Amino acid sequence: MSSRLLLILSTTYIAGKLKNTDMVRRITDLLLIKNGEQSQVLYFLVLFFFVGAGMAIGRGASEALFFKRYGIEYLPLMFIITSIILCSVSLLYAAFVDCLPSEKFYKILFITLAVLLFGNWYATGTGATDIVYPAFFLLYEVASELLLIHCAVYLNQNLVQTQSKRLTPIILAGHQIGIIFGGILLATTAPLLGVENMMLVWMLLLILSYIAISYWHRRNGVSPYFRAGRKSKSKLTQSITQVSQGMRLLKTSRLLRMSSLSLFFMVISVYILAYAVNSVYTESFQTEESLSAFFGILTAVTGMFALLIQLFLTNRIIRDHGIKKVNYIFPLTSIFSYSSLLFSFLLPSAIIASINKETLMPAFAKPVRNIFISSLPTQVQGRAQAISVITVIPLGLACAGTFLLFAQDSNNIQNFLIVGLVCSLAYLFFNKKMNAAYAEEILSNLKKRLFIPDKQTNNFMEGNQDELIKDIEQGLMNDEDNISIIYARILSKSNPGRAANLIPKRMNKASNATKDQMVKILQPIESANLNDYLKTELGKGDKHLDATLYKALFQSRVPEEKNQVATLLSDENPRIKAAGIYGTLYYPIPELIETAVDEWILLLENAHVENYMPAVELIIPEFKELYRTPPLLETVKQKIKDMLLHSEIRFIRIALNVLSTWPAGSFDDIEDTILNLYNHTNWMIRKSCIKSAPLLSEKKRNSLLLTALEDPHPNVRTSAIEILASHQLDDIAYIQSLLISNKTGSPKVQQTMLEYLMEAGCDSRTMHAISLSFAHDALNIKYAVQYLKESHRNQEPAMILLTHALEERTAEISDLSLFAIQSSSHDEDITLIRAGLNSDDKRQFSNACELLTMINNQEIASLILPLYEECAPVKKMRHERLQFDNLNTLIKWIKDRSDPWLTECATYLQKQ
Amino acid sequence: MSDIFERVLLLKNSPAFSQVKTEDLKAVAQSLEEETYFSGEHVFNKDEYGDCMYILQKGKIGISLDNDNKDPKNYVAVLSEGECFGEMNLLDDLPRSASAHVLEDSTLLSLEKSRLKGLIINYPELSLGMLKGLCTRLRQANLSNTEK
Repeated sequence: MSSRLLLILSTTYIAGKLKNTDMVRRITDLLLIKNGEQSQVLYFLVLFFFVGAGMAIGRGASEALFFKRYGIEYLPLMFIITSIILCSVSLLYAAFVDCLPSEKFYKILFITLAVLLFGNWYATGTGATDIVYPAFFLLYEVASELLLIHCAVYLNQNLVQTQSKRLTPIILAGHQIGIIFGGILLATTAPLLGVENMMLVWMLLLILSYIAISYWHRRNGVSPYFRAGRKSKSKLTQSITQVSQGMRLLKTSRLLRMSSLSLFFMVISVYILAYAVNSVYTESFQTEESLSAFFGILTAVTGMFALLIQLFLTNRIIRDHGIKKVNYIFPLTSIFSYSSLLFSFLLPSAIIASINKETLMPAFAKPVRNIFISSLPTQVQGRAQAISVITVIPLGLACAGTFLLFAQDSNNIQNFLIVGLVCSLAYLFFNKKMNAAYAEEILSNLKKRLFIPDKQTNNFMEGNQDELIKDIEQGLMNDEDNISIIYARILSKSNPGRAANLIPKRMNKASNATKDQMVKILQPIESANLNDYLKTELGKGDKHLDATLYKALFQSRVPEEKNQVATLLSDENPRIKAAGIYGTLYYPIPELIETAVDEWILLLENAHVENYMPAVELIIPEFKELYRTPPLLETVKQKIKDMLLHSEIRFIRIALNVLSTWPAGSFDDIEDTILNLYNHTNWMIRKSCIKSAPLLSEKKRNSLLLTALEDPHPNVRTSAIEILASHQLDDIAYIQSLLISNKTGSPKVQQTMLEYLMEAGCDSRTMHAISLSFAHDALNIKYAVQYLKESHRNQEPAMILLTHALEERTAEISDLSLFAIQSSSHDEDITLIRAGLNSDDKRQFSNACELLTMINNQEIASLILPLYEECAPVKKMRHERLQFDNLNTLIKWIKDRSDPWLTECATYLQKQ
Repeated sequence: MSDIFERVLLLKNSPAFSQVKTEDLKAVAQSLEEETYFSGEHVFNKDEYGDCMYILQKGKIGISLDNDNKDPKNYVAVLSEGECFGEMNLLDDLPRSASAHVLEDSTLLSLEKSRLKGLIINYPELSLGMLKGLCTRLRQANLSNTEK
């Protein structure tokens, strides 16, 4: 637990003013730790405390021994050797990192290091050779890199992105406390025990780390986000494969490429800076005891600064300004450090540079880098880290060492400081590139992981993808008639030209009924070839098919078929006769119209369905002048009334569909029938009723349509909003007022309205206003939930139900807020964010939250984010918090919302 | 009406239906039929065909792999309030794979196969919840086998 946490705990205990639970809650709230995360955070703090303390001791001791007993002039050479060793050791690391759970890997590291340290200490004691000092130096350099890099992998296997963002700075604070502790221990005990004996202290801390990690994972199992990589081939081949795979990843992932370049220049910049400051320190302190004591104090002080920044600044700055801006901090401060050393190559400038390296690098550069890496797909994160350790860091180190080796001879300090400065500028440049690649990486990750059905459908319907068209054509040729018809419909809409060629081919082996349907599908397509084909089909099937073929030909007004109309009109078969009536009216043929009308009436008056149905099918808008006037009118009306009372659904639907084309006031005594039929269990009947709503009086029509907005079936709702809007002068303004001012209906109704607005091409300004209104509304509902939870701890069932309902509404309405800006922002990005937020997968959810922080519309994002991330700064937002005086105020607020389900739940609570 | 709200809450707390929105659960709740069983009775026996799944509203039900089980140790699962059972044969159309023993007087809410299908089509989250419930049952059975 952090020192600050301990301080607060002890102070509160003495004061005795706060209850323990409240106190812990306040502390965890302050540190942005959520319920259920406390023990995990505490464990990480303890583990990284031991690791940090050991590293501080190891560093101070190894450097003091090396500089004073071996000489700083060998430091550039040590950089080169370190790079070679680091590369070899990292090859082994890469071989195992994705195959073993990260905790097992840590355990192996701890034990190996402890054994090596003991061996080194023993060799120092014998005094046989001076080589033990550079060996200890190298051991520290390699171990520190491995321990820190594996820290990122370990945290990624235990935390999701949003957790990582909140908790990584706090967890790394544990590491910093360890560093402070280690620094103080080194400064106080090294002069007493002897610098070389500090190796044993580090060894002890490594054993404690081993015990902590073993204990935690014995109780909690393997890291939850560990996904084993391949386990085949020999270890060496595996390592090389890992590297080559990592190199291939560099080609495919722009983020990895840019972050590797950024890391490369950071390493050169940092090591040149390290050489510069160590030169100053070695000259300023004469003995190894005074130097190690100074290193101890310096480590403790810089560690303290780093800790304070990590605890109180890092996560808040990342959250408030985003990691992209934070990514610029360390490059800029490095530039400043070089500038100050160039200005004055003395102890104060060296201390400034040390503070930059030891304080700002762990406080900003490392947490941000971890977050960037965690945006890569889980299965490649280990390899990405391995690439950094095996190639990028050693290469940077080797470059820095080689350069310093030559620069040493020139005796001109400014030379290498200027090169370091240039590297810092390059580091800044590639961080900028890395920021741009970050959003792309998350988006591409989400695209691979999530299924977006709507987009696929759109592509399908756009018909501009050869592969999809090929699939549709294969579907059309399917032997199953039903399947073939479905594909024929899709093809006729997406590519009418191909449909006119291909559907006739499929018709050759189709049944009469299927042919009939396919002719109807082909009917709207104008094509001379198609008409020729339809003519060849006449007489090959049954009368029903012939009638359909004739209608298709008449609709195309094929001149030579006009002569057939009189013959068809006198045919005995009702379908053929109806086709004759159709032809008479469609061409039109004035001399036959009277006969056609008489035949039409006769068919309608016939009691048998096979006789009157072909006549009913003729009641289409094109012939309205005839059937809405005597002598046809009364016969048609009577037939429709009869069909509406029929027991079979299809008759009712046909009658209602006929009515849907009739204008208001043209069928006075039909209102009650339509209103009654709306209560039908079949949604298609309900939808047809809504389509017929224009026949109702204004009052009844509005009442029916507003009721239908809450219909369980989306198609009914869509029809209702279409009819409702069609009766407004300005449909968009009307729906906007329903959504913003009146907050009409439940989220499903609101979604239907939004879909209508998008379909109508509503401008982005209006959609933004609606989105904003939704975001505020979602926040208000969230406040209502908070009020219920905080003010009414002992919840009754009705209270629990209302809380559930409100929580669901919060999620639904915030999703609608994003949906509203979907058309005006990058459509696919918002679709992916919504899919990620609703994915029920912590990783994708977390990635979606991260993307949300990067969308252009930050006004909306800043309102919505707190709904998903509970610890986000709700109070700082430009949103007036809704206040509830008591439960009745809240219930009244809910009832005023016109959301039927919430109103029901609120009424239930009131009755309780 | 309050009965419906209680059912909604019961369903919301059950693993099979917890992912479904309360508003949609109202439709599910309206499709349920209440049945009462007394201690010692069987809700169904192994190898029988059935057309209902059950949600335990009150009481305790033991699931065993034989019809005449008396030993509590042999129950593969003991179900309490909010838990579902009998859903397997609605999905695979095979006879019941286990028997359901009434351990305490129980009130069950039954859901017919035909209604379940319609509900799953309208509320796909329901199938995810049911899969979750089946997984829990499978894990319990595995654990029970390992212990034996």
